[in-house]
Amino acid sequence: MTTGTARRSLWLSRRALLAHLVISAWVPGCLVAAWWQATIALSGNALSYLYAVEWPAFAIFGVVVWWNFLHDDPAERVNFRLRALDRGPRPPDSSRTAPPASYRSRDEDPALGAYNDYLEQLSRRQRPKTWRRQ
Amino acid sequence: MSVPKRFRSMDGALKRYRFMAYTVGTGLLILVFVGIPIQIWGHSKTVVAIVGPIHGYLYLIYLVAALDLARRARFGIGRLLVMISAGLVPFVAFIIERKIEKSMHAELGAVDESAEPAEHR
Repeated sequence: MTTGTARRSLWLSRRALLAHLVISAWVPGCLVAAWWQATIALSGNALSYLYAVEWPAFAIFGVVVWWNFLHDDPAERVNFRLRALDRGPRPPDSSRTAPPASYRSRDEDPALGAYNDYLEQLSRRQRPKTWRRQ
Repeated sequence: MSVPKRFRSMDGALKRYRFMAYTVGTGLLILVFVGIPIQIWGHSKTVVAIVGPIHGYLYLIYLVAALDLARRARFGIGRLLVMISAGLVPFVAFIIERKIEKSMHAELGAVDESAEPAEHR
């Protein structure tokens, strides 16, 4: 699965590079803002202590989004839907994870049923939602 | 159950997102249309000093709720960015929340209409 090519496209595709560009501006920006608020806080503005903590949190949030964006595998998503439908092909490594005969048990709870319906609907429309272009 | 727990339901994620959208939307309105006018023309920082930081941290929770929903419902990055920026412009949080809620209901509703009940229930 994790061949050299796959890893290269994960980190070096055009969209990945764009994501790197955005995150490499976002994180220093947040840290500069945090530093700025910290200096204001130290010069007497008590309110700025709160903002000085908040900006690093924004930086971390950006990193989480960036990481999710990079590791969002469209093939895995399609596979997930097909497995949810229990109609499509098994994933290549299905012998290892050994999925049950059906993902839709007769006594599935309503919330899970609604979610499976939703995934089924997305799959039926042939429009897999993904953060990466396929 | 072999479906990962985090995939079991979007309902909770949608509810959390909607609640936070209303909270953050209201907080921003108070900040922009009450706090800042009072600061500028009333020369009092009290409202901004109280609502400002609270709103800031609520916005952080709003971001987490939006990301959670986006992951569960398989939203694209574009829609997530719209949700993120919606919390920054007055009134827009309410509009986007409504759009998200409507589109998800449309998709779930379309399933109901075209359902083949016996096959997978």
